[in-house]
Amino acid sequence: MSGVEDPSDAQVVAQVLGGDREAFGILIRRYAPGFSRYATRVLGRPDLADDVLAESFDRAFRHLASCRDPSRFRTWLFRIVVNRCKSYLARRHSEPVSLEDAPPPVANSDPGVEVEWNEALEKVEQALQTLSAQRRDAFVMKYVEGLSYQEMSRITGERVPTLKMRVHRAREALVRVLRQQGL
Amino acid sequence: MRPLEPRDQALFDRAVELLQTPVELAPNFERRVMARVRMAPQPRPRSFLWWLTERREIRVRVRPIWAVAAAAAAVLMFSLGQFFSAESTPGPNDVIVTFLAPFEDARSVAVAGSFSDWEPIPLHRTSDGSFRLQMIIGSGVHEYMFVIDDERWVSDPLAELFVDDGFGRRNSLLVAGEAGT
Repeated sequence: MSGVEDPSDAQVVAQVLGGDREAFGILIRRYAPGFSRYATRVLGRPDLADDVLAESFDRAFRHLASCRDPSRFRTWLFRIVVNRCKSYLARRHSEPVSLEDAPPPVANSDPGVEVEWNEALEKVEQALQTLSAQRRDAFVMKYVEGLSYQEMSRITGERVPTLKMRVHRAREALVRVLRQQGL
Repeated sequence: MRPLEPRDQALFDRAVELLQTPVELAPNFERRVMARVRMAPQPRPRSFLWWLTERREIRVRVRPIWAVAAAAAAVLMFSLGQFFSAESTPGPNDVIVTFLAPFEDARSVAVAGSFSDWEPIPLHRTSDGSFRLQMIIGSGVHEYMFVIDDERWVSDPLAELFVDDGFGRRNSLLVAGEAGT
């Protein structure tokens, strides 16, 4: 046991701003895996999520000096990821699609996961894509990532009542679609 | 939040459990990002002066009567300001551009582009029914589209340059100032 503690986010940010750009790798390893699921669920495809996440980390590095409270780096970075996903969906002019038109998503091809689980996940992913981008985003933050409404408000800048309404409508719509699918 | 029927709750819980399946990153993800990081300019701590001049969003909630009073005060100040020569001018790398959108039948028109992070900015209706917006943007080449009635994204019919957005649509191109300098 080396007895060396992992550096805090604030320490790593200070290192990077001091000129040690390789230290940014610590933040990538620390946070990219956690955001991968969020981006995949919101965008509908893991390959797209990878691209948008890479763009987010690149942006985070370039604007690292504007992270006013490095001890809350995760929230700051999450905000960048959310905005990049939103920006991507806006550029795609994407609107919610009907279940019939929803493209089959690329399932997580981890061989350790049962086939039945993957098939069920594909159906739920398709159902999720029938929600509007705003509702899907709020739903994923709340129920998949387990954020509180206060955290969601800090990240998105939206008021808590607005977020609650979106989550509520998303839940109702999702259940309707899942019933149709006979999951 | 109103509770779901037991059967729907079971369906919902199952869906959430499935969606919480971890998603692995591509094996070369960190290498890709670090390759970009190594090419990027070194970020430096900012000075207090930079903090003062940094653009940031400020949200203010006011009662309507205050908004009316503030508008009246603004009109008065503008009228008084006619006697003074101080006018805001764009910075050395900024350009004033005017967007004209001939969509007389639309209820609303906004412009969204690379200069606004693709966030729609509303245009104002003019006396002839078209929509107009004058704004300051950085010099360079910008892509943009108009958003009609908050839902329909269209190219600028008055633009002369377009670019394929990679998804089957055309973004209008705007060359502001001396691009590339």
